[in-house]
Order: sequence, then C-alpha cells, then structure tokens
Amino acid sequence: MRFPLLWPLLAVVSLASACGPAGYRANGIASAGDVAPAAVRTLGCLDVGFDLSDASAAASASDWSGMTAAPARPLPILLVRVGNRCPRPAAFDLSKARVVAHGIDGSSRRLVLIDPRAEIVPLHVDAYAQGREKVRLGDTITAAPVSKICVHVDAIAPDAPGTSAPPVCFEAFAGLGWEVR
Amino acid sequence: MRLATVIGVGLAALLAPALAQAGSHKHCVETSDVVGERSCSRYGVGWSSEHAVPIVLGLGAFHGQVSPIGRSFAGKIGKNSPTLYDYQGGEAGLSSVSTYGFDLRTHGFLTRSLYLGFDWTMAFAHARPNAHHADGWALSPRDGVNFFQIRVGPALGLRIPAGRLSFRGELGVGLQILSLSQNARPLQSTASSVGSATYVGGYLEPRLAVDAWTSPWSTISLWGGVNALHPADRSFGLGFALHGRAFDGVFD
Repeated sequence: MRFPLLWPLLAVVSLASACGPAGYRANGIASAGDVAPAAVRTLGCLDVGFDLSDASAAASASDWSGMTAAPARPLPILLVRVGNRCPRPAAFDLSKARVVAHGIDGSSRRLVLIDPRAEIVPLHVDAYAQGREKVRLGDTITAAPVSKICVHVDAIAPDAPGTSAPPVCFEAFAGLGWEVR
Repeated sequence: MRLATVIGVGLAALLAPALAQAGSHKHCVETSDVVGERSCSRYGVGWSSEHAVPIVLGLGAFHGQVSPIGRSFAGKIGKNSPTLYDYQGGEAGLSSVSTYGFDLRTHGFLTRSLYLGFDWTMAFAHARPNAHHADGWALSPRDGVNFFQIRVGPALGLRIPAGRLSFRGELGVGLQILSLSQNARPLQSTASSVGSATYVGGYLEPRLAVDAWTSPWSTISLWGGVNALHPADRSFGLGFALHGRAFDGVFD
C-alpha cells in the first residue's frame, strides 16, 4: 500500500466509534451508589433520585435572606440525581419539588431549596444524559426538630404531566443521619 | 516526519478552542458542589441541553479525485523563487489524480438544523505525469509522494435527523491548493532540480453525508461531494465526530 496513513486513520475512526461516550441507561441512577434504589422515582423519561446528608457547615448568613429566622441547626443537604432514559431532551424543573418537613410533634411545614443565585430554573435533561446536584434546604420559620423530610416529585417533570409518584421520604436517626423510608 | 508535523498542527488547530477552554478552567478551584456556592460551574452544567455547546468536532479519512485538466500550474524551484514556468494541467498528461489523506472539521449549529463550520483537508498522492516541456524547462516525473492537495474553507449545511441516522446536505466553499513535484531541468542544461508546480483556486462543493450515531455524542459519517467549479473533482470521506449535544439536540 502506497499510502500507509490511510489505514491507521481508518483504524482510529473505527476504534473511536466503538469507544464513543455511553449514555444514561434506564434505572442507572441507583447504580451510582449515592442514591438508594428506594429513593428513585420514574417520571416519564426521567429517573429522579434523592438523598439527604447532614450539612457540614451552616449556610452563610446571606443564604437565609428573606427568612424570619435561621434554623436551630442546619437542615440537611438534598442530593438530586436525574437521568434521561429517552433519546430526546426531557424537561426537568427542580424548583417544583415540594419538600416537606415533619416535626416530632406531628406538625409539618414546607422547606425551601436555597438558591441564592436563582440558578434553579426549568431546564431540559439532554438525551441519555444524567446529572447530579446538591441543594441546601432552608426553613422559613423557626425550626422545630425535624423527624422526617419528604420530597414530593409529581410536578418536577413537566413533560410527564399526568404522572404521579409517591414522595421520597427520609427519617432522621440520631447519629446515623437520614434513611430513606 | 514532515507529514507527522502537519498532522500535529492540524490536530492542534482543531482542538485549540477546547484546549483553551480547558486551560482557562484550570485556574478555577472549585470550593463547593452545592448549588449557589460553586465557583467554577453552575446548576445544570454537564447535563442540561440548555448548557450544552452545540458544536461538532470531527476527524476523518479523505479520498479525492482531482483533475488537473483545465487548471493552470505555476512552477518554481525552491520556496522563494519567482515563477519559472507555467503550464496547463492537461500538458502533464494527467486526467485524474487519486489523493488520500485526512480532514478535520468543526461546525456549530445556528438553528435546530442549520449549521456553519470550517473544514481543513490535506491529501497526498503519487501522480504519474508525462515528461513534458514548459517555458524552456524539461519536466519529468518524480518517485514517491509527489502530489498534494489542501483545502480550507467554510461549509454551510442542513441536517435532517432520522433517529439513529441523520442526513446532511452541505455546501463547502473555499480555497484549494494542488501541488505537483517534478524533476525540472532547463532545456540547455543537464542539471536537474526539484520543481513544484502549484495551482491555487477556489472550490464550491455540494456534499451529501449520512451519519450513524455510535453513542448520543458521537457519530461515524460517510460523505461525498462534487466540485461544481471542476465537476471532474470528487471527494469522499469517512469520519468520526464528537457532538456537544446528544443527537445534536433533535433525534427525529
């Protein structure tokens, strides 16, 4: 062969094609290891999973602007994983997640997603893409001790308006953090 | 060795924007992974289609059929010499030269379907011209790789998605350089030098391409085109490309 360059190029093209980046596969969220399978919900094309972890440090004072008082202890951080199992972008609106805290006295109140830069807006999860985000939770009233936090997800997938899924609930265990129930 | 340098420069040119971006991020030290507290990124980056960059970077094998007939070649001896001889491509007795090489391309989407890009092609051949005379010089064929083709220019195209395939029609416009190395000797002399006869002109090439998605962000493509300014010129390519958006944002 007089042009030896051609065949290495063809080999590179073939190899690169075989090694292209793989996309998200259905139910792949739980395999990442930071979200329990019981904390994953499927809403149309989207798999959405959550986890709670105790905040290592209190949010800065500016994060609590607009709230009547800072909570007695930092609320946990919400870990969100989302994966799109379809070949088209799928709408995802995390701001529509309703996070409810249940006190040990039986009371309940809504928590907010702390978003000081107003970044949490409706977006589309790219086809076969997956993402991971962490969001601080905030309380709009003086916090009473929280025993359970539930994330209601029915409205976070605008492309699947009729879909309903049970909330993802976590219970607090002293010294053990949060466990999905 | 020179070929390796050319390939290296080409790859560097193609990857320069990505490398520059990576370099600019190198100095950003992330302090948190919590929304609103990140220094180097923001919510949605890495997974949302709104934050994906709609560009395509490609590398491929190229095959061209070039006809010197109807083209005027200007010959020089050495890099900086004046033009010493001219001849029409047909005088060299070459009806067509088959070239092989590679092409690099990058394009970005202007709308959902319309894209604008830039192509860079370099290909080589062993041409077998006749021995002939031009302007008092005797020209004879050289051994080895003695012909090269370079094409640079923008391309405007339309993409039609069809699931795991997509079809593209595009128009490439640009500058083409063809160069033929020959042994050159003044007729009254016996001393021979290496002469290089070069044609510089434009090309206007409608192309058709089919892409097969090998993953949501990569394709393998087969394409072909005809130079409307010299219809005997044909181009074919087989390439691999990485895409900033899955399925370029539209699956079907």
